[in-house]
Amino acid sequence: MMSNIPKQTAEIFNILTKGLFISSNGSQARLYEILNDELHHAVLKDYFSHIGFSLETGYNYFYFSQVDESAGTIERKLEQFAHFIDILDFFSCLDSKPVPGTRYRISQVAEECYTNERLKQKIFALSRKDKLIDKVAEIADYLANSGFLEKEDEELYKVLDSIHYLEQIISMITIDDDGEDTTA
Amino acid sequence: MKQPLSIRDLINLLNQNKEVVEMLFGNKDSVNKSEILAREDMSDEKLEKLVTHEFIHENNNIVSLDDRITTFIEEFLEIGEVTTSFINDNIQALNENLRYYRIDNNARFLRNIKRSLKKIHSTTSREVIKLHKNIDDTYKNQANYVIKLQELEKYKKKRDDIINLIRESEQILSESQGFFNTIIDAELNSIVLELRYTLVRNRDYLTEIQSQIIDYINKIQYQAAIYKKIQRLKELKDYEELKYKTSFIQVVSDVNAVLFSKKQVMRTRVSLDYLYTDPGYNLVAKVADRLKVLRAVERSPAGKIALSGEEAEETSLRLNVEALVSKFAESNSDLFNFVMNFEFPDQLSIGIEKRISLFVEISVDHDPGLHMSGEQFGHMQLKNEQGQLQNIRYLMIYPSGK
Repeated sequence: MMSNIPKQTAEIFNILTKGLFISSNGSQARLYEILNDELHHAVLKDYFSHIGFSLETGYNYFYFSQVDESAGTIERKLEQFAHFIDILDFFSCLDSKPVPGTRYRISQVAEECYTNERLKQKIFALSRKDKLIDKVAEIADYLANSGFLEKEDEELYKVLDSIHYLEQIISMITIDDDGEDTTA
Repeated sequence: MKQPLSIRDLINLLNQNKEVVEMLFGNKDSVNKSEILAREDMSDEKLEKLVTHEFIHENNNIVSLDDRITTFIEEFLEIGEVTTSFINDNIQALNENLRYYRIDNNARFLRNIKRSLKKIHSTTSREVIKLHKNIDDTYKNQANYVIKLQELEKYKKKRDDIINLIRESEQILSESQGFFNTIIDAELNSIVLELRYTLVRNRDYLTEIQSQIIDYINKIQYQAAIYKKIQRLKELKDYEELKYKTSFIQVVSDVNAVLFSKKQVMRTRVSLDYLYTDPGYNLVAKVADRLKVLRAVERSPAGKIALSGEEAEETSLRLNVEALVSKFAESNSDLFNFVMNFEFPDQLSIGIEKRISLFVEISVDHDPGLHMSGEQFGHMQLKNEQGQLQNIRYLMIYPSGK
């Protein structure tokens, strides 16, 4: 029975317990393939469930969930997600949208911010760094550390499939009808 | 005055101005006259000639290529807008010539029939390829969502049009098959056969394209809605209304991804079994060395509570402590009273305060052999060396096992 557990299990566990994602279009694609294998998936899902982690499947990505209803955790979730709204709002106002596969070059984004007053205001609200380029790098790094972007080289970031996770949550939030069209 | 052009003139004129034509084709609507005239290979006369022959048009100082030339290039390079009119025109021409040929078996009509069939073949394939290219390009490069969506919808409609034209062509072919059979012409047969094959292939291709368009449209609609919603949520957040006007709290509270949990620090303990192994021992020795623990071990008797007085006295006293503890173990008294009332040899002058120190020392250093009640306390009054009266409260400690 134990021999069915893939040898990459520890590696997978380490990534997922950090709250990161394993996406099909990231550098951990080989781990994605293992998790996407029907047999391995069943074994690992069961295995992780015994130690309190639920292996969840998204659209081309995997992640861990864990039920923790303490007040502190809920508060942190709300704060963190509110911050994601700020960041996604910024990215959704850029010329190229954050869809899986989109690549952002820091200098280009900074340039776009420089010429667009609305974007400039948004990025100033998001980061306290001095230079525009450092501000963009800071929030790109934040998304990368959360597992939604991947740094391909010094200043190139790629959007991973895990971005669907944030889209999914956004689509679940309902807004009271106040005359604005917000169907999603 | 415009002179009629021969084919040779036309090609020569294009050739002489190939760079300007290329440039104008690449930058539709945005080249102005002075820019053209600034070129090395252009002069006022040359430009005048091009305008006279309607190769280019000039409007408000903006120079552009004639539509016929643009269309010609696009047609040949299989780029530009998808248009179904060519296919349609050829179908109409085919119908006409079939009708004429039935009336009059003139070879000219047969030639026209073959030409129409060939053209249907080439235009259909070309338009389908263009359609596919344009759909892909629109999805990947069109930055504006509204336009992107509308363009894809337009291509969806064009795709339907092409499918209908293919059906129409197939219909004509099957209706005329009997008639074609009566014509002894090897070329006609092979053209018809090839066209049938091409039409089927393109129909399959279009089915594939159809599902791709739908997929793209769905993705765009979904994403466009998501971005719009993100911006709306951000707006509500800025007005501090996020918590009241949306289900934000409820939805996000129910999210259980580990991403949002407190970062867990995995702590494990050292395996004791490992410490008993050789590598384990070496590791411990290394750590001990760094912490200077081993030196402390060497002078192990030290570390006990130091008593005041001469060092020699301290040594003898310590020896006495061991004996005192074993004597206490045999006694029935509690430790405090035992120490207070113990008769030390005369050469040691043990005052009350030293006795109290001794009590503390024994209770700290020898606790495995002691039973501490934890709740029971004794009281006594005593005069210290300065003659002050003190109230002392002490823990009742008995030899363990009693």
